[in-house]
Amino acid sequence: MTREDIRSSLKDVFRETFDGREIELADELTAKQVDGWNSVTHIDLICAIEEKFSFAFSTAEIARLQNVGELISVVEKKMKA
Amino acid sequence: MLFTEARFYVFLLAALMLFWAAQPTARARLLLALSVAYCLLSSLQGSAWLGTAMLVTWAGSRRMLAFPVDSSGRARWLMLSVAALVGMLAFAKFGPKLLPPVTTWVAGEGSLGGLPMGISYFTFHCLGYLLDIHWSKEKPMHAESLALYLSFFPKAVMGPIARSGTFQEQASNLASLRLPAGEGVSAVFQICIGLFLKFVLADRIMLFVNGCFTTPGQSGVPGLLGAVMFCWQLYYDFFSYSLIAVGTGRLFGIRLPNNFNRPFFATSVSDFWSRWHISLSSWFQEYLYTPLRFRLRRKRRLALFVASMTTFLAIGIWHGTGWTFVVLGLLNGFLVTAEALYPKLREAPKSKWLLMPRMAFTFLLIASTLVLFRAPTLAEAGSVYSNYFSFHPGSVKAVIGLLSKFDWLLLAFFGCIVEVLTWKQLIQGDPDGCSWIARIPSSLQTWVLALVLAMTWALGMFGKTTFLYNQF
Repeated sequence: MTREDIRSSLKDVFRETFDGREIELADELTAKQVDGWNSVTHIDLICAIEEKFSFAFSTAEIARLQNVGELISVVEKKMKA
Repeated sequence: MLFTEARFYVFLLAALMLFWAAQPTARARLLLALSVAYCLLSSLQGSAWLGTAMLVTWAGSRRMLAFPVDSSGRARWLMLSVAALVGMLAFAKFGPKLLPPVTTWVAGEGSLGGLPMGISYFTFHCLGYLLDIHWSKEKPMHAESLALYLSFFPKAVMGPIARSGTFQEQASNLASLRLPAGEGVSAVFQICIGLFLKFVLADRIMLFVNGCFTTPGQSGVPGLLGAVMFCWQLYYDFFSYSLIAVGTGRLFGIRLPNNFNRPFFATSVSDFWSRWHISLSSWFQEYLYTPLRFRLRRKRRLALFVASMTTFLAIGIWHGTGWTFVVLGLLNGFLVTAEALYPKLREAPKSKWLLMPRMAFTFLLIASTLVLFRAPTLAEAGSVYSNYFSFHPGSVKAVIGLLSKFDWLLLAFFGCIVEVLTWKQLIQGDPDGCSWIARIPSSLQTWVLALVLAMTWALGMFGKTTFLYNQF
């Protein structure tokens, strides 16, 4: 999967997690910039991404995430593994 | 050496002169020396505890770095270091209760709450750093950098709790630091506002609250009034400290995190906790709630319940060792969990006509939980609650009489002004805050600062005073 394919798939996950809203997933996007992306919905989002791509994150990977760009990079790395 | 003591400002002035006169390449080391001096001048025993925690953190992090990320070796050293640090904190908090003669040995003479100076706060910094290393989230620090991070004097006693990565980045730029235009006056203004809130408002309200809570018979409507006023006292007290800490940090080019964001404009309990003691709640969210809920994520709603309740129980116990704090934590955990499970409870009303009543309701709910913070026993808290809406004109009059008419008018007048200014974000606790003052003519700046200081001097309640959060 290319980075843009991952981004496109993640858009579906974000839409499902955040009440059907279309969210533009720029690399620099952070949780603070998305209404409703809080500590509660963050884990819901992570679980949904794990189900979508059929892998499991580690706690360290979650802890290191700073923005959507890093999330895409982690997914990309795990898809290649 | 608290921000309420005159000698702190003598120290600060001397520290600033030395810092800005020094060779730029020596600034970081000088700031470390100043922070160590501050700790030693404040409390020798506190400094010993801080030094021990530094050694444990340094040694633990070095051992962890000898193992790969996600290895059992790294996890083992993390556990050992965390156990040692939490053990130290638990001993400091519980030891004196179990063995009273230990109190003086643990904390030193004159310590408030019997705890070594700043132990709760520097323990969070240590634990946060160790977890950042464990997760490879931040770069490891050199010993000197770690010592500066843990002892940086504007935040040494009561926070705010700064993240190691952000602090390290700023500290590494000290040699090339030039304060932006207007930064100095904005920082000084934050400090002056902090002093005003503390001495004029917080300590004045304290007289009323102390009177309310020391006479158990005066529960009922006075009980509700006492809860509401205690909420204000706590806010002004800690907000004032945070303003002074952030303003002081800015004068050395270090931007400390904001602790308060207009908490009484919250529309839900969850919203409140995202605006109150932000550096603490975000620390618990990042280092306890999220990892715990993530670990249990397959359990869905149960995971949310366990993670929320554990986090708030930990926050409650951190505040104090009595049952009131356990119940305080559990109650807030329950309310936040309910809002997480039923998001409609958390949503702000769309109609502006419902917004104010919702804020008022949230405020009263929070103030009610804070009765547990203030009451010494569950029985006393229960007495306040059970008579919340009973009305005895005599007792209401007696309680109102705890403050003079002048005091009530002053609190109402300046309370409204402060709330409007914070609502309009003209008084802010973040490191960019209060920058509007830098944009007005410098002659007017002087008048504004002089006016705030003069009002503080003329109207302040000066006596033997400290900050409420110093006892944790």
